[in-house]
Amino acid sequence: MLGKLIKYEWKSVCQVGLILLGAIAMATLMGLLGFQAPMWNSMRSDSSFGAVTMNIVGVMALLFYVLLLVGAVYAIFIYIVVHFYRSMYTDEGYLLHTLPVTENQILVSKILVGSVWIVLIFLGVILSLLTFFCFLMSAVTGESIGEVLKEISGLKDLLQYLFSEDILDVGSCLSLVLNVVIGVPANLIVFFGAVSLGQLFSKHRVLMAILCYMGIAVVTGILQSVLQGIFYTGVFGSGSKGFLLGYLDFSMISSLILNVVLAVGCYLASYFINARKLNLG
Amino acid sequence: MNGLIEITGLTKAYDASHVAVDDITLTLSGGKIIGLLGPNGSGKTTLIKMLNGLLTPSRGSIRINGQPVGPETKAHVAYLPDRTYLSGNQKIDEILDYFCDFYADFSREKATEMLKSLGISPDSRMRTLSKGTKEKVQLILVMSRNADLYVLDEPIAGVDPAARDYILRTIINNYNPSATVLISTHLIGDIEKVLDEVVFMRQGKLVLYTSVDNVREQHGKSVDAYFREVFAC
Repeated sequence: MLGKLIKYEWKSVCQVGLILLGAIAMATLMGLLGFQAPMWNSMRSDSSFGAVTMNIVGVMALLFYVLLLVGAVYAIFIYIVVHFYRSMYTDEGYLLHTLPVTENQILVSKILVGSVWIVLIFLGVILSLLTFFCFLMSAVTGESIGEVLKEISGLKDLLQYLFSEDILDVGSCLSLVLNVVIGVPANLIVFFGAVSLGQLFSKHRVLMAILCYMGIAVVTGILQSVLQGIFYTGVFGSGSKGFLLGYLDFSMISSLILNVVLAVGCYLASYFINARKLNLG
Repeated sequence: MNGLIEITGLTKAYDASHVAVDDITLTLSGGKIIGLLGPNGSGKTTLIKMLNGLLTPSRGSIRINGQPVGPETKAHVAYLPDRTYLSGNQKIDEILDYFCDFYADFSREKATEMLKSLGISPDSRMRTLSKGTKEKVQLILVMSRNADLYVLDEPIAGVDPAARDYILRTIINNYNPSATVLISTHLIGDIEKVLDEVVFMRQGKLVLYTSVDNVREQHGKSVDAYFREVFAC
């Protein structure tokens, strides 16, 4: 049954997800068209950027591009959380909660599909930014896209240097990757948990869900501050790494642990509320 | 006696002053059409929602076919809520796929046939249908299942008399004869002729559970007339 739930969840999110990916593609195209503006030519011909005559259309296109990318990331999060609320706790929940499936299957299907779509949108944004960056470099330097790409591939040497000089290590990279891989579903589970906690109240359930999320965010913030305090007191004198890199490592590990603990707690809360406290109005 | 539905000490209290279902103990047997009757606010819908796992009881238990309410019972219970619960964006065809995938006892052929007899196109989106047609689509989805228990919450409320006749005909002609049909309504006159048994509820309490023949023999009245007497204001 889990496979079937995933199939239908995918179908229901797919339309909005594809629209957002399409919007990112359109924004990228518009951003790239912005490079046709005369200001980029003047950037190359003038020796200083301050002397550039800013083209209002070009600037607006860039602004629109940035806003759309940020908007797309927020939009997919908001859509998935609202979709979760609607399909679980409004009239549409009558269908979902009378299916012969378990609460775990329902939650897992929603977390999996939601996470995949968020990652897809993130990937779309990264791809767009890379494309945009290449065209930006090409527009500013006057080099061809091929030459810009060659220069970017030179970053590999920089990474090798950073690893060889112990500025970066495998552990740091692993915790960064884990943060990204676990961070997306963990954040989604926290949102779902807050929506589910809101259902424990007899009135104003949406408002209560928002307040629950704010409460969770405040508690997480306090815990993070406490952990950082522990780091500050512990880091001086240890000195195997530089302060900044040590701080980044510690931040990543502490945020990873917090994310996991929070996600497990919120998942259990959602499960418990659906299994034992469900009260569809 | 082992029944299809065994309800023991069932209570649902929203808060201390609002007890919607109050300590009901009841065993309903299989193969019957049972009217769940009571005035508005008597707890019919609350009881039905608990049978379907949409509300959690405050106290007591429900067993259907010997199982507590859960995925196993939901596979054998066909439920028609008192509201439109299908997303307006969905096409009827997509909803049929959905039911085929999740309910092993759902007959697509039967559903398609019923839709055709009403002239409803499977390509229609739910939001394009009138309220009455949406209700008919939801009824068709429920009655196309070969369930052990059909739970119909106010299936004839808010529709015109012709539609009521269609709905009652659809129920009678399509339910699995070995199954139980539990119909909640306060429009007793319209459904009395199809009922085998009745359950009367008032203010969350069970007032009466008996056969329709018993009501007629003991009280010399139709169920409708007896209901009016019991629940006279």
